[in-house]
Amino acid sequence: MMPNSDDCTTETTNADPMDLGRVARPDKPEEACGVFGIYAPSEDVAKLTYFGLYALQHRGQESAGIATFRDGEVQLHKDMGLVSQVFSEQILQTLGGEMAVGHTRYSTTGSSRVVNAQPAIAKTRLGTLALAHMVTWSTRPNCEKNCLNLTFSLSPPLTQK
Amino acid sequence: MIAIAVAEAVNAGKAWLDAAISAFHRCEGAFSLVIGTPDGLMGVRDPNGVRPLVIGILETEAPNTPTQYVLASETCALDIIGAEYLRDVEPGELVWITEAGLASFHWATQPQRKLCIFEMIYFARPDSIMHEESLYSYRMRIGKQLAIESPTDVDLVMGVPDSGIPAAIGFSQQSGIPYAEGLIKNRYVGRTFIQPTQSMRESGIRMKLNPLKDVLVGKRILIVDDSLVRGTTSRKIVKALREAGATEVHMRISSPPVTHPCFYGIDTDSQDQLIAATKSVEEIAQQINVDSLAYLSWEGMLLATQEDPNSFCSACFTGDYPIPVPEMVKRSKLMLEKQPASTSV
Ligand code: SF4
Repeated sequence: MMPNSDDCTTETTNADPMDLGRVARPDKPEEACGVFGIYAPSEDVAKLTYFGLYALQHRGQESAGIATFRDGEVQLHKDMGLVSQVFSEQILQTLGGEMAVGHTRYSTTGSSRVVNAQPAIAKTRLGTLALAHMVTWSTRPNCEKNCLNLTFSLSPPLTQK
Repeated sequence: MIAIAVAEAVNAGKAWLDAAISAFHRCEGAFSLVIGTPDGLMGVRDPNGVRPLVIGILETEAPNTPTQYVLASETCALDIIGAEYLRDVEPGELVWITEAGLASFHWATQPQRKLCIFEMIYFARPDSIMHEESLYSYRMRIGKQLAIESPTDVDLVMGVPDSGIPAAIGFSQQSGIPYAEGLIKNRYVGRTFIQPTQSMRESGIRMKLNPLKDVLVGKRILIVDDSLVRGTTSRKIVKALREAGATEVHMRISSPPVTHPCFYGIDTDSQDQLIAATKSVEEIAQQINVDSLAYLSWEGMLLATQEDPNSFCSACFTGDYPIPVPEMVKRSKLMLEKQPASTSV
């Protein structure tokens, strides 16, 4: 789950200063999510997204993920851990394209599992979408009902852990 | 949930933008999101713009490249990759970024700005820009306001690293009391996943914050923190300061008492866990063992924004929730509130 143990030495200046490792919950409200998106055909979008998320690490330290689009094809990698733990040079090299979406998450609801990590992927008749959000609930009753009836598949991570 | 709603609308025959907008109309709450599609990149904020979302431009030397856009929760994520801040995504706005450029759609019927005030006080990085200034500047101003509202006679002012520091500097500037660092944060370890030993745990906070004995000994200290939620950490900090030789420890909080849980994406505890929901300021002062304790006033917090006070959410201080919260969701965290008459009979 934590591929790069040596990355634990990375400075994370925005981690909660009061957190005793994982012993106690930080005595602060915690931010639910950080999102990032980029459209930049001339750049290494995966790497820029990585650094964008790295700057947003304080908004969520539980999981991180990046989805890239190359000519409509989606590549996704997400896992539990800090941005610097989830991604390595090798993993970033497998991602690429003209556009990317990234997310750092601190989970408020639901269990801490990789399936809850974002971006979320959904296949549609127009191609795959990748969504990174900070959202808590939806109230419209018919939304809840319809959404639950819908079948959609969450792609497994496409790159190796 | 929103991903599914968008996908559903697409599969029902709608194009990306129509599908997204119809999905947003069906889902309420606080959301800022970024959606990648094969045809373009979308950035969206809820009608109240509770969570921030900014747009940046990334210049390129490469020939024949369309304008390159970046979307991010905060401007600090633009800075790190060398992108220029362009503007915020507006509450209730959708931006659609393609080869052709950036198109804007105001999809919400009644957008009304209610930015989370806690973003300004604590969550967002101090080097992020909101309202055309760094949050460091805002946080210095609330420290000044705090010094105006709750002065006290002490030798040194210090902040709880890192989040209490800008307000502590503001407090010092306003009051004329010297600012000092008395707690040093261990900056180079990152987050550790190794559990400390029992004796380390009992020694309190030292893994992350180490008190400077020679600065603290014999001094009357005023320490500023950005918020006080449960009080457990504050207690440990005060204990460490006293053990290091401080003769008096006064605490100032650069936000009002948190009395209500957040339902818009921030993980505060349920209401019964919030120390200020059940205890008076004096009781809290006693519990965390300080000589005096004062919070910033709600008015002072909003005044210091230098913006329209109605353009912020401050529900965790007031219980005045700008976006209606469904009863079921409410009940999960608001156990101290009276239930509406219809359900309490
Ligand atoms: S309730 Fe508090 S933390 Fe939540 S959005 Fe409003 S101001 Fe921010």
